[in-house]
Amino acid sequence: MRWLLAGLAGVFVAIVPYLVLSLHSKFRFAGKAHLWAVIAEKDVNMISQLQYLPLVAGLMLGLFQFIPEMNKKSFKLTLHLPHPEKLTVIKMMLFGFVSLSGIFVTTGGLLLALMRFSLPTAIIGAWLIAGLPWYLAGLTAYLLAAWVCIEPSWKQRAINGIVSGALLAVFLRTSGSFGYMYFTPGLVAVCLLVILFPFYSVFRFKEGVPE
Amino acid sequence: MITKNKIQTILIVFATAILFWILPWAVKLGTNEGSGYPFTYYSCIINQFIQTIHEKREFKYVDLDGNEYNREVYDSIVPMFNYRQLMQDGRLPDTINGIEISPQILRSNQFYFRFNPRNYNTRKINLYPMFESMSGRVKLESPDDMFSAGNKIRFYDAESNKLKHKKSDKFQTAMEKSGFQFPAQWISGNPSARKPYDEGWFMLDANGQLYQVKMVNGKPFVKNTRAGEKLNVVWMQTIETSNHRFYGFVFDSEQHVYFLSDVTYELVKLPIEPFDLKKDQMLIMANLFNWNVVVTRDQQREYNILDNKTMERVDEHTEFRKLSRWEKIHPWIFPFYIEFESFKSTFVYPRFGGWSAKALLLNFLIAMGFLIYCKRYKKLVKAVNILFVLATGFCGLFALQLFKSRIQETKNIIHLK
Amino acid sequence: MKQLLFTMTATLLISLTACNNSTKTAAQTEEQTVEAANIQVVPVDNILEIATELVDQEIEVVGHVTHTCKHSGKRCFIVGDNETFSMRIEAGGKITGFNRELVGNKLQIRGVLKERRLSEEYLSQWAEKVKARELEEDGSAETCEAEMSNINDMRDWMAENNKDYYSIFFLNGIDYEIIE
Repeated sequence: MRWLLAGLAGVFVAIVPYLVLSLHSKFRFAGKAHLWAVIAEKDVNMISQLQYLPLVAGLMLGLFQFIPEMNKKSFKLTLHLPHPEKLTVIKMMLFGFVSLSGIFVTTGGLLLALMRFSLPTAIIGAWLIAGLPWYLAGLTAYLLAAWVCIEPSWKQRAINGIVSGALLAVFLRTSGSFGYMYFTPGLVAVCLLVILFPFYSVFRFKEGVPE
Repeated sequence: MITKNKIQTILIVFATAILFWILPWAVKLGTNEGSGYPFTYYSCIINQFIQTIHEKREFKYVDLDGNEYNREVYDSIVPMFNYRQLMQDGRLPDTINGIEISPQILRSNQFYFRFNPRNYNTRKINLYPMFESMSGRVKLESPDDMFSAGNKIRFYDAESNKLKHKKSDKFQTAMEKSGFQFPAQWISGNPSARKPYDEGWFMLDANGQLYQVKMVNGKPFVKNTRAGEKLNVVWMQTIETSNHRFYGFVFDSEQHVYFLSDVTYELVKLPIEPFDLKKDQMLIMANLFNWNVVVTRDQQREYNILDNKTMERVDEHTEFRKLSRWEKIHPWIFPFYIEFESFKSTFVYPRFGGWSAKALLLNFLIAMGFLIYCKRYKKLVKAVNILFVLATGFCGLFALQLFKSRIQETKNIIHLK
Repeated sequence: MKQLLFTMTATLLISLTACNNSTKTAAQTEEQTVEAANIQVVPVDNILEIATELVDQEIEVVGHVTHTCKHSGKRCFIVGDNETFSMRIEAGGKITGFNRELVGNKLQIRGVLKERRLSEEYLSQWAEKVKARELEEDGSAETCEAEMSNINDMRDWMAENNKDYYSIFFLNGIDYEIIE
């Protein structure tokens, strides 16, 4: 897990200079004034390569964290420990949630701070609003991956997986700057509600639903 | 307290919502078709609407009385639209309706204006170029800075990404001096350098007054159009016409449309039915003699012909649209559907539409079927589940099946510590 | 002691240079002020009285814009508060053109006053053209009459002022400010 987290952090940190250098390369070719005009007029997002990265990161972390737990039957053991089950599950999810959030906030903040040197606040602000749903998708993907993995029944896992896929698609309908302007609070609400989903699988696990 | 039933309920609601999004989308994908309105242009020669109908891989040119014309005759009776073809064929007349014409005269009086609700239901990055309006050059030159206007107007140099204090203060002072009240509600104009000329930006101030702001000889030029004193301005869309007749179209809260005249800022109202800029589309095809003002609404398209000089409505026609297969089918299947995107807006959020009581009939049958099935196979069924299926139909039923509890799972109610 | 002398000399030299610079700056500012002060600000209504003295000089005129050249914007016409006289302003210097929306605005325009003299010969040729046009076209008699009236007014002025030419004064604009 540590190595996975380090790897994910490394990827996110590495993409920052890539995007910054890519932007400067475009500046050299097209000229700053022209590029500003194109970005503003056509709503071009120069960090749109980031769109699916948080989602993949969240999925990977969720799968890598909970698949071994289920395979090795560690989760079963964990729930039998003399420790509040809710707290145990919360701690497990919190670890991944906070780690991901930390990576997203740190690297996202670093990226925007570096771009601040070459781009005005109007553009930075627009890209921040555009990027928020991607990061929320990453956190939601992690929680949904946990939900799918903890589910004891394969049939239900498949159902959960399909529902998760559809739910995540809601976060990625557009990469336009202000597309999610009015619905970002709704996405945050969805992300917070999804925290409850893994507990449903935990209930079923405890009930002894067969695989 | 977190209970399994509560989470199950949330899951069922989520799944139902997702199904109300995905299933209608899939049905629409399989059944949707075009609007079916024929292209219609008004003939200034015979004073009739001429429609271009595509039938059996051929184009037919028909007027409203049913008379059909061949391609050559169509070109001649709709010369304003087909003058290039007539020129090529050497058939362009010297005069039309007693008025001497030439390609230059026709071009200078012709313009096309399109308005889609997406133009209004959107938000742009608050960064705009302020062109030099009187550069003395034929082509406009892109400036090396851009401005944003919110609580203040600010110019940023692109090269250094720094605020241009002097220029910003100059414009701020000029705007305040002319009475502009910050913050600006919106800014309208053409940000492209590929336009025949620049008339700057039209900004609505905090008091609903519409100002023209541009840069002339390197200096700010700010003038109150006084449009805000005459009406409650909601939106403006600018256009550059060859004859500089007006700056653009102004939409007010009474759903009226005006054009804002050049220099005098006189507002000239278009004599058309109320226009809802959040829902309706507009296309204006103007020529030397008249304006074809085409307003497309949900179920119909209205053609208004306005005299080019007097702006009086000289003719009108309404076409009603046949319902598409999707529109015929969905009211019977889905009591409503959810869409996240719309061609009328760039914003993404869940939109509940297509409300239909007809689907309750199908829902009732599904609910009864579900009840009979449960009774027959001695499955526990709750009244709330039946009501849920009655309200949501097979989407709700499907969601219930996806997250159903089996009684055999456990006899004891499980709690998490 | 040597050090103190050196320090005092250096200080003296520095202060002398600073004085020089500040004197220079003050002189420059004064020069600009004098320059600005030397530019006469003349309302359009009063310009005819002193126009002959100000030809080829840089002046500033104040007036309301009544017309701008629609296509190129290369000239505009301003009038004073009394609206008795109208003056032509040509775009030049920092003025690339006058935008159409300036009509109604009050401007303070800096430029060089120019004179164009119309000789009697020129007026005679012009009158002949007007008469020729009157014969060719019908329905524009009003326009021809107005033009002839203008020509006659010019001749009357020449006779009254004992001149063999009619002066038209205009301004080659350099820069302007919008006052209101």
